[in-house]
Amino acid sequence: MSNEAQWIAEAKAGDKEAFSRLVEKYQKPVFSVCYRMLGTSTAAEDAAQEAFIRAYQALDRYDPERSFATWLLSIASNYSIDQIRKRKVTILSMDSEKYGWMVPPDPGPSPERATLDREKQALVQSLLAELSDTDRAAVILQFWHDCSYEEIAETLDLSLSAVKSRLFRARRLLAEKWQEMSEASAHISKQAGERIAHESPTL
Amino acid sequence: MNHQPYENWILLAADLDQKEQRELHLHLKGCSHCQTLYQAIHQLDHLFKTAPQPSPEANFSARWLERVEKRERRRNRFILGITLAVISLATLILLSVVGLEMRSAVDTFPNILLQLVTMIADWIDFLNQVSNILTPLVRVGTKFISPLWAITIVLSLGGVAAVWIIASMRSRNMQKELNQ
Repeated sequence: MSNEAQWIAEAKAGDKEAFSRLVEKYQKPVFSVCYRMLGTSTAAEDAAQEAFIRAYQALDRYDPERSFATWLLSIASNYSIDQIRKRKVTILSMDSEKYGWMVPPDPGPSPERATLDREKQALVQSLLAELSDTDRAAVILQFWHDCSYEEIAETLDLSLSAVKSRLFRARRLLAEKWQEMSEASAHISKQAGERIAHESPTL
Repeated sequence: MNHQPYENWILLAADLDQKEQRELHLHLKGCSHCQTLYQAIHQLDHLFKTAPQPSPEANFSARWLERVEKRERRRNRFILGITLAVISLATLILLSVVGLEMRSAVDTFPNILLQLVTMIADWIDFLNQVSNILTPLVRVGTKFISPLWAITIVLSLGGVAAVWIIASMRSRNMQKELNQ
């Protein structure tokens, strides 16, 4: 019996310590799903904790034939979707300066790197915010957690064709938004360049 | 121009064989629409891949354990509260019922006592009258009848009374059996 299977068996018998080892092992992917879905560290922490509690309480219903990680991710993503619908959580906008504090602290090698990471994180969140809850969950599960179409379908309780169609639509929308952002960014850079060029002779 | 198969390949990140890859690249060279989409998707994929993975703060599992225990304590307190409330309610209902019964008993007690006293007084009166009738008869009887005869008469009357009682009891039993 593997460590994981043993911990699951012990946790099923009511051993919280054994389940806390599973929490230790899967905290990152579960937190990551919640963060990508909800957009803030505080909400992600709360949702991840709650997802683990739900998993612990529903452990008797866990099918050992299924991957434990996928099962946990399905609980986390469904809980996050519920939270979004319940609280109508505001997801990050483009303004990385404004929302930089929401990104988890990354002890990068340099402040420049940390700033770049925060900007990237904010950009990712702003793009994800354009998607509907279910589409966002499908993209997150596929992209960051390598879930197959079948696993996504099982996790989100959708048909295989619905998953494909949602992913197709979501990626098209993301691409369009990305293009818009790139064009806007290029336009701002061009304007700034022109202004600098215009002002420089007077300096 | 028909973009459909190429858009599908680009957007669903399908695993393409060599022939399909060649076909896609050939199409991209001549189609700016699909070229833009292809570039955007690749840039997005790169952004997603290079964005740092969010991590929870340290001691996440310890916080989870604390949270679970806190919730269990709260649940236990809730169960205890509900149990105590149910017990208190049941006790209150029991006491109310007993109190009402006691009150009605207190209300009717003087009547019962009065009826009992009246009944005892009636019996005493009845026995007194019987005694008044029998006493002169016994006095007169003892003057004219010898003690032997008196005992014989009393025993005979007693025997007749016993036979009458037994006969009446048997007839009652028979009546009951017939009714059944």
